[in-house]
Amino acid sequence: MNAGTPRPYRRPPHFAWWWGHRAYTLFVARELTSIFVAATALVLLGFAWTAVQGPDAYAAYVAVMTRPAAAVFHAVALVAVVYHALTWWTLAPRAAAVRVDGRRLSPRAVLGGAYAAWAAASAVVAWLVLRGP
Amino acid sequence: MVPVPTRGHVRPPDADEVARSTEPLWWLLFAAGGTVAALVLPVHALLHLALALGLPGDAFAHAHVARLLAHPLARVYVTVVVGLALLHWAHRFRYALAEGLRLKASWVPIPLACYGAALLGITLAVVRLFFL
Repeated sequence: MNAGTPRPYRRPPHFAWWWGHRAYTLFVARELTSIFVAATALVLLGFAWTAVQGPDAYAAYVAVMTRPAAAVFHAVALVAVVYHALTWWTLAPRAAAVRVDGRRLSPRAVLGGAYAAWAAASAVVAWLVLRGP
Repeated sequence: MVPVPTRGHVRPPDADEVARSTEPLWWLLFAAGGTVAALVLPVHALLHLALALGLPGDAFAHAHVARLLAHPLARVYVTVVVGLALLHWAHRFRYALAEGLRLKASWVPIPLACYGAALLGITLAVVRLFFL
């Protein structure tokens, strides 16, 4: 570091620098979906946690999770994790170069594979839960 | 001659420096978490909403859920999904706080708080689902 030459002053950005610009605000909104990724995972953990504990703990947890406020939360979380999934699959073909036989798969093919995997995983989870006791 | 301030090689690295030097690991876990979350969290959120709206009948009955979880693979599944989702959150939230809200210079060791919270959640899940 050269102590002799002064560096030009750079004003630190305002803490809400991302507000008011569409691209920046969408970027921050996508970052914030990670909160609902964690929250949905914790709700899922809550089901497993109390189910392992026993019927009473599980019933109490289901009672909390079916309150109207919880329904609103689940709806917001659903929108957020779907938004996360859509943007994630859109980015994946650009971030990962999938090669088969040395040739790079087209982004469209990678995207198609991702959507197929998404549909298959969703179907398996839904079937396991919804087929009932 | 002006003494040049050293970067302090004798001082132990702070949380921010440790997080930076282990960045590839956290980034890999973030990417894995984002993929797993995109694959299965929408259907889980949909099922949670359906339960709250009274749709799936007895699909969420304790007997059914407990029997699903009796299989070790189901418990591994829940642990992996929850663990990777938490690590995904931790990595993104770390940057949202540090860069988005300009808290990088605050006193809070942000990486430690974020990754620590995720690792605590994973530890609790593993203990609950496999050792109790």
